[in-house]
Amino acid sequence: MRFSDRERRLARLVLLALLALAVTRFVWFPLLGERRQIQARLAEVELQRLSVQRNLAAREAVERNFAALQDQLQEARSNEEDLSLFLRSLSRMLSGMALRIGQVRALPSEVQRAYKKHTVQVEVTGHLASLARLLAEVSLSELPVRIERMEVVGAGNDGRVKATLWISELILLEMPPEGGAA
Amino acid sequence: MAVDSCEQTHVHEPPRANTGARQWRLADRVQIGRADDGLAVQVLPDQSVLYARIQSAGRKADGSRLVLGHLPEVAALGSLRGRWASLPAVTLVLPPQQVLTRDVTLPSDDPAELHLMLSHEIETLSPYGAEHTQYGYAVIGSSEPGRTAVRCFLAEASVVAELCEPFARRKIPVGGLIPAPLASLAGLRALSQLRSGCLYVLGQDSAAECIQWHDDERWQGRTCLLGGPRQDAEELAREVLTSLSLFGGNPAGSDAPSEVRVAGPASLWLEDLANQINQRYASPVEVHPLDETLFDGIDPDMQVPAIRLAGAAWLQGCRDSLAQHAAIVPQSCRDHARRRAVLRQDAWWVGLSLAIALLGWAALSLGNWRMGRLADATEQSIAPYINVAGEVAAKREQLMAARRQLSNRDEPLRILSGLADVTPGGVFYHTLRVEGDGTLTIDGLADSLHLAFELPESLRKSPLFTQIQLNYAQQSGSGQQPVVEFRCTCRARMTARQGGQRQ
Repeated sequence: MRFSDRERRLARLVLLALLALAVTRFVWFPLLGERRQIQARLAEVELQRLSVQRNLAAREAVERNFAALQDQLQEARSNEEDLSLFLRSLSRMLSGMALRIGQVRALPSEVQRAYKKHTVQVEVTGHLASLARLLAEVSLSELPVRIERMEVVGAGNDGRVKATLWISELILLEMPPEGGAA
Repeated sequence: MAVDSCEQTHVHEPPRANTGARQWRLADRVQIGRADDGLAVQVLPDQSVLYARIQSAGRKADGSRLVLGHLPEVAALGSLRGRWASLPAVTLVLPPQQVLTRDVTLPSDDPAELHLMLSHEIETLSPYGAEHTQYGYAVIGSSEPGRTAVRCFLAEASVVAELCEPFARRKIPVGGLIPAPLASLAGLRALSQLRSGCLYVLGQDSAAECIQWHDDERWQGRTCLLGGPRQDAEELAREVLTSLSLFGGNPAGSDAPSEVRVAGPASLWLEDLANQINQRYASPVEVHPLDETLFDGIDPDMQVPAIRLAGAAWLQGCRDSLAQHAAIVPQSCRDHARRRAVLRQDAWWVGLSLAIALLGWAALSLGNWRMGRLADATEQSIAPYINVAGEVAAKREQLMAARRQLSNRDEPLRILSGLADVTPGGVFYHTLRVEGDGTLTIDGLADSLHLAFELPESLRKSPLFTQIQLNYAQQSGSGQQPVVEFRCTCRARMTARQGGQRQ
């Protein structure tokens, strides 16, 4: 079968287009995909490197500050033990106050990678001065406890108030070092 | 190039391959220029084939070998093809009876234009019609600037096709057909026999060629068709005399030949021919045979084909102006060449595309490889510090959590104290909410609207509170002691709140 020059040119163009499509589909796109993956990996590695650099640069300061707070920090045990110890400490604080303790309720713990936080909701009733003493006691405690929320409602005309306190305690967790560079 | 040996085989129908082969040695005088490997073939009137193999051996011309032979048509060409399958093409000698020679002067000296002009002139030059004519040409002089004299060799297309057909049938490519006049002239040159002004008479069978050569731009040839298969002295002498008159003009003129050299069967009755010529020609002419040492042992019948074959071989290897356009290229060869050119062009395009694709692929792959190497190197460089950095990161996280936990723990107490300091008289709180983010919501009662509106102003005076807003204040109750209910929100202003300190 003979082709004219025009037909041959068209056929050549079609063949070239097919070749270009095939090369694009089977060679170029896979390579571009691979390139994107490598770029993503490179970016991740670079971020990791920066993080490692930053952590290494801050290492001395972190160790120093951590040592300063070491005495106040609690080591992790089981949740039940932690909560039990926390409630025991709390009852010691409340024992000397002229406050009537209403409801005490343990809220779900917040567990993070490096620490966990137990929160207890306590309802107390008493005079405002007693409440202030309790607040002062908590703020000066050697334990890592703080009052996260507070709601104070007047309870009658004799100056007594009913306070609901959300008191939390911080517990540090032992962390495996790998992957902790971020 | 040199002719080393000559082999000839007379074959009669039916053809027999290589039977009764005789070999003749042609003197080592065939000088041809550069040559590609190839084959020059002459089909003889009895359908036997005389061929010369051209084989270049290195760059030295005298190291090459030219062999003349004679093979049965079918078997020989089949075996030739098998033996030399890589031959580029076969060059055939077009018999003198099949060639028409026409001289024409064209108004150009540009070779490309000459070719184009000649293609237009063919219609008038050829008796066969342009469509049925195939031609070659040789430049024979440029008498004045811008004009060129061209000797055109015309052949009928059907004759060319008929000659090529046995070769085409056996898939032996025919590259071109050298017209016999040109092949004879080239053969004389290849055999170092050309002398300026001499008239050469090459007789074979029913035709004789008369050639006079002065230089490449001044040579004349004439093909005489004789009456019968055998020539006689009287008839040949008549044609020679005609040629002498045509070529030399006035016998006393400077261009008038004084010597005639004869090859072929006519050399057997040379004396008779010389007598005939000298009796009729006004000027004395010497008649000699061509150098007989060239044809040691070769039959007179085969002398002229041998000369033409040597000429064809010489032209095949020659690149000068005489040979450049002389060959008549058969249409099948043109088609073949065109197909090859198209294929070559297609291959070039495909190759170019593949090369570009390959380059792109290589560049991208190289880039990927380099980035991969960089990622690997970075990973390796930080690997020893990952654990230490991980410990530091963990401690930082714990430290920040501890700071958040331990900072501003006195916030509720300070809020209560601060509120007590700034609350104006006549304002009472019944609900106080302190959220974890320091948002303070105060619900209370005031003795009057004025007092309710005074509360935010009082709070603003304290450094402890910010973003103070009175949400609503509305009078309630009736009678003598109306009260105003209000809600006020603000935020406790704290230092270094929420782990604002680092490390």
